[in-house]
Amino acid sequence: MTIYVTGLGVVSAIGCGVEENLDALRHYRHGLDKVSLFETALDVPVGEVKLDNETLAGMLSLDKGFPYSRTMLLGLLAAREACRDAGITAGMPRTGFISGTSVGGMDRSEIFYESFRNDPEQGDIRLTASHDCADSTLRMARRLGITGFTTTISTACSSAANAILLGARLIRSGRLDTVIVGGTDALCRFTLNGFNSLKILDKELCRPYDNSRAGLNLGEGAGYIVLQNEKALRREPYCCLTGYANTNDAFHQTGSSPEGNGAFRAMSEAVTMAGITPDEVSYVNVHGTGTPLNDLSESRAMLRLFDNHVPPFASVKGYIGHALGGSEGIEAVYSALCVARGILLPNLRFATSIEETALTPVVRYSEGNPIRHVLSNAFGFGGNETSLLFSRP
Amino acid sequence: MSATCYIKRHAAISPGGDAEGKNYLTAAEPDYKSLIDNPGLRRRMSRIIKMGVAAAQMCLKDDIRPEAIVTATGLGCVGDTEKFASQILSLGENLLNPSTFIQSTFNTIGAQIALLHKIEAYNMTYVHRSLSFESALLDSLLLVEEGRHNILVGAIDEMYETPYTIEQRMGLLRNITAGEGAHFFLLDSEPHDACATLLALETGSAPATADCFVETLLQAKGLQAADIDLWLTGENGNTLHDKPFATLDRLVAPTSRRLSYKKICGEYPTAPAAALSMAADEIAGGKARYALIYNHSQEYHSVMLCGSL
Amino acid sequence: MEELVKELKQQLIDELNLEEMTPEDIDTEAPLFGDEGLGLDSIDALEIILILERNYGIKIENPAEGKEIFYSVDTLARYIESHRA
Repeated sequence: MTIYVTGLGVVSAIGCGVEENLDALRHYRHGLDKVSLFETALDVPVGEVKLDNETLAGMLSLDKGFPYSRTMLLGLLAAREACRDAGITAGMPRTGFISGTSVGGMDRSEIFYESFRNDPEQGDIRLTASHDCADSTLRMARRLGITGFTTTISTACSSAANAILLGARLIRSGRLDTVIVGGTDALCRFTLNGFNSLKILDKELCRPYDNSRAGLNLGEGAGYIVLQNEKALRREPYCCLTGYANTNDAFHQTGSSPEGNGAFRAMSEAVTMAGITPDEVSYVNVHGTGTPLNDLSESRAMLRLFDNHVPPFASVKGYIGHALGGSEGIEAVYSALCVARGILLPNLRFATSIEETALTPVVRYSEGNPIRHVLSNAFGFGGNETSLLFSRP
Repeated sequence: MSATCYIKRHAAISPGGDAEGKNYLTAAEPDYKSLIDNPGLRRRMSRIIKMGVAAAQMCLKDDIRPEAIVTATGLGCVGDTEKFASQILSLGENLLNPSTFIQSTFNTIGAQIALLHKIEAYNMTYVHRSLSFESALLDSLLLVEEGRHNILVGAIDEMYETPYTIEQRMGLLRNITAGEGAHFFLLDSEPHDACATLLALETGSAPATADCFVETLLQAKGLQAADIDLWLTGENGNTLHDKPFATLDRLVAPTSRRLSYKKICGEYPTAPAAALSMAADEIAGGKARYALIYNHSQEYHSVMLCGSL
Repeated sequence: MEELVKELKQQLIDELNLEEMTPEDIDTEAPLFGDEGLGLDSIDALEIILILERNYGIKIENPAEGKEIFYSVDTLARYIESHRA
């Protein structure tokens, strides 16, 4: 059964909506800067969406006084764009919604907790109502008018990728005809400090796949795509989702195995599922966080999968940072555009290849390339590895 | 295409219905040392992680290799989350313990099970409030249909003072006893050594009425309400919440048993997993042929149907 | 030095949750990381960095430079002795 990608929606550090994102990508304009949306003592670059909560609520015609989580606001903006793009209307039958998020409404609950910690009777209790991960999903589904199967996945940085994978399986099993899938995460003090405690934040702008890389920059945002079977199709699709796989590295709670075993198996299974051979892959949207370990092990996994002939590849994290649970939502949108318009995206700030693997990513933006298959990777804590394969119809 | 799904094993770490003077029910915890025999991994595990991993270990004894691990949780590792949030405030964003942050991640339990046994297969975590476990179960059914064997699926939630106080203040616990639990199941398409069959799983938002929701499901399975000899329903003591369950009264045959399972495990997001565990026990013990589990939270309803082999 | 070694062992036990271990169980010369010794990992390394900074005011910016310093309780104690503020 063919699964079509028929709608795209994205909000990231480089723009709101597909066109703004594409424009920034085309003009090498990254969105990394100092933290401005919340108080923090940490002086590290991050990829914030340059709109405050009130502005976001206004854009969505929501009550500006209600303490919606930023995760929900970013998600709804992206999901609404994807639904409009695909012509999804409220109450459409056999239509589902699956969202991934790594921290849910932590951006609100951490404000509550500051008062609560001193006195359990204190703190605006409305701020905790959005704490659980399902809150953003359920609010979005309600606003979008989706009444079919709805769920939330949280597998850290691969959350959105896994939402996409589940959506495809639900269509394939005959349970749904249409499903909006992706993920959303807002940057907050909790996550920023978490990654800082792991000492994997670069104090400079991140340099994925460069020999001098020294860590990642966190980001935020949301990305959703619409998956449909042939019966539900209402427009010319961008591409098809032909392969997907989730595996576990089972090596370490946070670090990837040096040889990238889990990554290798995820990519390999996704490619096999599509019935193609690795050499048919035209482009890889790598996970490429910019941490010394991730990029090295992902490089090794690619060298193994492609038998040392690695196709053009790039990490977009130099533009938007690592948007965690939202990252593969955003990057799936980019990957679909790469297939539809033959785009190769540049890997910003690359100068020197990683010594051990000597791979060179794409550094120039170009369109109209003969692209057939784009492989996209998302790897998370707990060794959670997912690869998706987007192909020309 | 729909493969039959058998429950081969199940394990529970759960409360026994007695709050022992506390405001909420807490699970009777086993000796973890014998269940989680890797001290290197165990030493870093918080209480909820130990509960989850230990319940999974009980399902995996005799070297069973699951081909997928699917977990569900409403609030995840809240204790670890609070600990790290508290550190940020007390230590001023400096010198924070990374272990606490790592453990706060929702997929920690699934990941720890994978690490413990080097299980490189599919690993997924659902965090969808009262339908978290049902989502995980649906994924497991898909996996069985897709031809995988020995699917390990489980649900874990913990209760302690902070979430209790917050839920109390939110008005979520009026006349309700909160609870917690860790439940794991091993599912397969093969009936060998199975104790019960998972016949149906249905979720819905705002179905007309609970009784109609159940009747439609039973009809699709060629069953009648009178065939159900055990009803496990999710009343929690709150009048408004319990109202939809009353419509089920007319379906319960006089000879059937009806049990409000939350009296035993308390109310928590993944409580239906406790009910499924009870159903499997009753069926395995020959005390029921068909067991139906009904739950709802706000407008979100779920039904699970189990039968004997 | 002997006091410091004992103190360090206790801190490792507390901070790394080395259940059921006493300072006497930890071999001062044995490797802390890898399969032979205590079997600590990269997260433990980060926790040891915290012990040094919180309790001895010693800062290690780059986890990579910790490799030799963190080899054993002995190397760790020596480093603290020579860098203590």
